[in-house]
Amino acid sequence: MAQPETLYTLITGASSGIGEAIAARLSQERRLILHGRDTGRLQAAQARCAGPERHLLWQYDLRDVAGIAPSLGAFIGERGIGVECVVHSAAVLKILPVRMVDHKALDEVLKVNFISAAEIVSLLVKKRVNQQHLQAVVFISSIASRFGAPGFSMYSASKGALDSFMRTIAVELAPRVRVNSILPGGISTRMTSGLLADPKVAAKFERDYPLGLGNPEDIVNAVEFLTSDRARWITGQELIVDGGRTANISI
Amino acid sequence: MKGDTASPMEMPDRRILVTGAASGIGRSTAVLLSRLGAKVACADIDQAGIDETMGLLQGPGHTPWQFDFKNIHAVGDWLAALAGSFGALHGFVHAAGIPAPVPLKALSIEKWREVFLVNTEAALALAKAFPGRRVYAGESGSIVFISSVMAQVGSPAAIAYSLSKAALDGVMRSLALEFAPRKIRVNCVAPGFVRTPMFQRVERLWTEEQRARVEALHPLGLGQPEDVANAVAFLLADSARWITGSVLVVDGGYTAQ
Amino acid sequence: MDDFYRKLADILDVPEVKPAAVLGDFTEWDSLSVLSVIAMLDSDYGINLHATELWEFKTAQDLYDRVVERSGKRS
Repeated sequence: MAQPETLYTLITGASSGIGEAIAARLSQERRLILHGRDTGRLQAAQARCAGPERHLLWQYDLRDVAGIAPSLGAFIGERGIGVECVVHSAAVLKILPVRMVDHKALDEVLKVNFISAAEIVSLLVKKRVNQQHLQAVVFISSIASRFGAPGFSMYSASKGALDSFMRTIAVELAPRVRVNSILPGGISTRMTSGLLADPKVAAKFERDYPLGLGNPEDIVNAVEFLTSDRARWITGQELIVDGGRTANISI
Repeated sequence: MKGDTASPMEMPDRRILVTGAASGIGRSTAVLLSRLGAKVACADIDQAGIDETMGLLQGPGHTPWQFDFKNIHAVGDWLAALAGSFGALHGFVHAAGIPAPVPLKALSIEKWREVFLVNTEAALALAKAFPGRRVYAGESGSIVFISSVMAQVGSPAAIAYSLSKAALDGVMRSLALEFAPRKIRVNCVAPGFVRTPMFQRVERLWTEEQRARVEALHPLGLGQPEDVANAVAFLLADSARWITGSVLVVDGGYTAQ
Repeated sequence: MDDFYRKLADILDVPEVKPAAVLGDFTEWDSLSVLSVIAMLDSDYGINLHATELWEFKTAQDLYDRVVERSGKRS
């Protein structure tokens, strides 16, 4: 008789910014698989979790989309574990005017932001890989998915793809798996530090955000809610967490 | 570490007004808030229903305040009196609402205005009075309107209801912008079809086939009032301190397909 | 030397950029172009400049001189 598997929550992009903050919070109640590109930063993120020894590290570069399924499949197969929840927080932000966009730049953005998520979900709904353990999925998307900003065409496209994908798989995988997206507004992290370092950009943010800039904890709260039983009847939704930015057209 | 930090949804000693607290979503919300440590003022036109809700609340410090929200010009004074007696408020939830499942040709102007009055204008009147010194506790506030998926999708015989809820979503956004400098957040929760007394009154008008079809349109089946209460509590508490101007749809996937 | 100014011209969407050209005179010299320049300097010259520094340069030559100074390259 097989032992019931220990169930984990996979967090991609767990070694920085929002992903790391999500890991720190969810580690209080869950066993985590922390994913990241850099082993050193992953270990540092693990050390910041509650009960560090309870969590696993999956080091992998999501740009290599062909290898995601084999790598993650082997990772959970070898350990005889299951994945009950996925939070996809890995992302690259490349800001380029449209005249400089090309398929090479798009390739990386689409792969990390969207295709990797599709590969991971597809793998984890295969019965022979993960039985039927998967229950909840949260994609960290962006308000850029719905609203345009100069320079954001590739990023927006990748997040738009993620949200459309989310809506369809929510319908397809119901009632067993709930799938939702969180759309953060501008948050101060390593990924956005370049953008926010420009005083002109920073001033615009101050003006446009009714509640000011956010911090990772604001997104963490929403992730915790959506992955919990309190949100058992919420699926296929985009939850905007942006300090009122997208409701704002004040002059 | 586990247990070191309270959940961000806890609301110890926050004072929250819940309208429509006599039944359904309003009752479920009042109960959940009391369990999260909040002190709840229960308002509704139905005194007996309020009393029953009061009996379900956890802990001391809650208060019943009967009111007919059609009495719109009295809302401001009523709210000030409530806050004067109960204590300054940290937020309110407008869950009071009436349906009017009637096709337009049978819907009188008086009826749709009545629906609009209770569902929408009462919410706005409460919001207008809320930031006043006599009412608002001051440091941070949160207002939640119970809207509906019927603000975003349509159905025959939902005219008055859709009108009232779509207006709620719209006014909520401008309220959010106007109140942001005072640190008062404003959001909507948009439920799908939830098993409440209001829903049952509407459901009784359907055939068995229609009922089955509605259920089939919900990827996660029909909902319970608790499902909506959880979303309301999330938005009221500090867990949503950076969320304003948004509509949180809680509908079992109904509008996703 | 041509290579740097050619790349700058691409970013500013003009046929050419002369060393003495005043950056502020280009219609496309905005936050977006600044980010593109930062990305180009990072990937092609291995140096990290901040947006605040970039806003301070007057001419294309000023920018070029700083790039040379920081990277030790001439291209």
